[in-house]
Amino acid sequence: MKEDGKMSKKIKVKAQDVNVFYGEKQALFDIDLDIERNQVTSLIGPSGCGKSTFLRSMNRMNDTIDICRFEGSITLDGTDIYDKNIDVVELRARVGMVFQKPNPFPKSIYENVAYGPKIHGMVNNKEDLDKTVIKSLKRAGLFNEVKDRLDESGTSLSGGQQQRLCIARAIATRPEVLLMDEPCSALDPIATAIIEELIDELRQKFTIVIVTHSMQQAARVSQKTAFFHLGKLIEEGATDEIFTNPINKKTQDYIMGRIG
Amino acid sequence: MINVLTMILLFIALSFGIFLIGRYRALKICKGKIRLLHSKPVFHGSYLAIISLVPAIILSIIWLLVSHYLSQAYVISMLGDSYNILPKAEQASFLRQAAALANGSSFGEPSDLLKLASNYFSQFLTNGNMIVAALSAIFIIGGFLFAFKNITLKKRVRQFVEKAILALLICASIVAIITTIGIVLSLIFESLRFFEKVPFFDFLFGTNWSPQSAFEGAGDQASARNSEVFGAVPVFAGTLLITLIAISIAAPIGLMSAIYLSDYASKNVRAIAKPLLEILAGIPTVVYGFFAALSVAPFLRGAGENVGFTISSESALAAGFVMGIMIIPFVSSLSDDVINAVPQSLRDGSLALGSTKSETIIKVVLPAALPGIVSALMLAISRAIGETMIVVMAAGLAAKLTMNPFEAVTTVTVQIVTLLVGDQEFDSAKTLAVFALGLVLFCVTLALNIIALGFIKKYREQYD
Repeated sequence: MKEDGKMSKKIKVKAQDVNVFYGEKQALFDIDLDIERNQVTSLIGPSGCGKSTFLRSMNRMNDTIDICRFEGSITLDGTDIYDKNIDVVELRARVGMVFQKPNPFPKSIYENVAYGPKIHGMVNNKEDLDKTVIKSLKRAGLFNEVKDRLDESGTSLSGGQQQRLCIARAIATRPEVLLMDEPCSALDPIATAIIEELIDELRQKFTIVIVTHSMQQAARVSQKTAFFHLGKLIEEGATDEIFTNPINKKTQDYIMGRIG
Repeated sequence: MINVLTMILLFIALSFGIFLIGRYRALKICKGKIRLLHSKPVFHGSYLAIISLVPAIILSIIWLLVSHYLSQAYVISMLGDSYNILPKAEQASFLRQAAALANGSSFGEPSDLLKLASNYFSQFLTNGNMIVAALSAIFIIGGFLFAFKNITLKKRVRQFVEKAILALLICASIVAIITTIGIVLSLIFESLRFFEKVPFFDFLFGTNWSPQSAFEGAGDQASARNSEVFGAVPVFAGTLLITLIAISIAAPIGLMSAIYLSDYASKNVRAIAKPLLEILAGIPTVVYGFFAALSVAPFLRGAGENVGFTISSESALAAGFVMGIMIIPFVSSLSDDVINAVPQSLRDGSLALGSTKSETIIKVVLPAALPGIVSALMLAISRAIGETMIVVMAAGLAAKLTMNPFEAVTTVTVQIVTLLVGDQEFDSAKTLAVFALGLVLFCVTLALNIIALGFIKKYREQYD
């Protein structure tokens, strides 16, 4: 019993029997997965295996797709996020997201980061807002590069800077979980390295789930790895285990580069 | 006119025939192995047709354009004094009648002089036509022989044909540009003639507009005229008032329905609602006009009476209201397109931060779509300023300087219509005023367009 309590304290997000459909087509089959607090969990698998769909289920971004249907349950700190009483706006404030392609708003760098705190009324005055913006930019490792041009448009930054701006924007609302959908796929190796370091630091504060196509990246940044294939969760476990000693044949094949 | 038509048909038939000959010849030379030819057979066909026909076509067009003036000059020189003694005012109509007679239409019993003139006309035109036809034939045959000899395996006609196509495209653009320049120039010069009669500042800043009471002195007092009846301020004020009413109705309704259609409506609703809205743009303005005059104006007057306002039966409000409805589709359809063009990733980014749908639209989507929305509004305003039919029927004729929307006002377009309806002398100040009004109207819409373009340039955001 004591052991159980400890476990549930460690678990931030718990998915049970998750099935997701796009119209007639089923994209996810009976997914059970626990995401641990203050850990980086990476979701790997070939394209179209449902890892992004699963990620988007965790902050209900799939709601924006008309034909998408969800079955099963996902709990955040023990509360079912698909419950009728859950306010999806509040949920997304607690579960932030960074997208594959950097998508800064066509506003100034400052306004991009201030957007979340403003709409959630998290700050009472300009000084607080300034502090939040600067803190978020610093934490995203972008502040030194943009401190003299906070008024410039966010879209004027380079790709890697834009993605860090999006990370700063996401953490400015102080989420508990940060979902990252292939955040480095559009970036060069140097920008990727910067963001990977950042992810490791952010782990102190947030619970992170990252979808990635790069096995090396999964091995470098995550403590836990889950392998998806054709909408099914094939194997999950400690990253070291999955990469050195996979149990399932399919996982082996994927990691060795034989499928995918 | 029949002649011109047969000529066009003849040229079309000839070009097809020559094209086919050229293509056939090229095919024959390479013995069916098209690979051996530098240029494909179609290029050889086009080359042959262009070289043979273009000089003849250009000649014919020039003849069509100048034959009228040449023949007049010829007739005048042949008639000599018997033409010169005619009163100046009758000379033009004399020539017109003679030309008509030469074309075969008859009226009454023509005088001998007229008969003579018409004979000269037909003589000149017949001979001229013959010469042009003969020259064309020479051009065609010569060009054909020259080009036909050039159809060889190595001949590079592809480049020539590409250049000919380029020349054709340039000609088309030049026609469009020259037409625009011509209209603007004629506006400017006729306006200058008007400003000789009425001082520029009296027109632009005068507050009394009643051109029907304008008079021009005759005989001794030829220079006497009352220029202070051409004050255009009330007219432009009326246009401004009605446009303001129209845009304050069309902008919110159009924008909000665009937002609904692009971000809230389901696919099915959108598929039905969008075409329905665009039907509004297809209703003839004359229908809007009598709708405004016969339905909206009496309704507004009745409603005004109930709450204690006096609304005249022809009011700026009625005209502006109906005009606003007319331009809703311009605003909504164009705004809908630009709002749709805002990438979904921006919406996702905003939603993922926990903002609601309306927050996302107000704070992210609309700012990103702003340049497009502004240009949609500008287009709608230009439409409203230039709109005529609705205001003719519903706004009134009397130029009153007022900003009260319940009263009748008049607009620039209405005044242009009233000044040109009925018999006109073409050099009276009354008629020339039309050009001045048109010029100022043109300048206003041009300025609006330039401002809108500048705005769009300044605020265009790069998102992708």
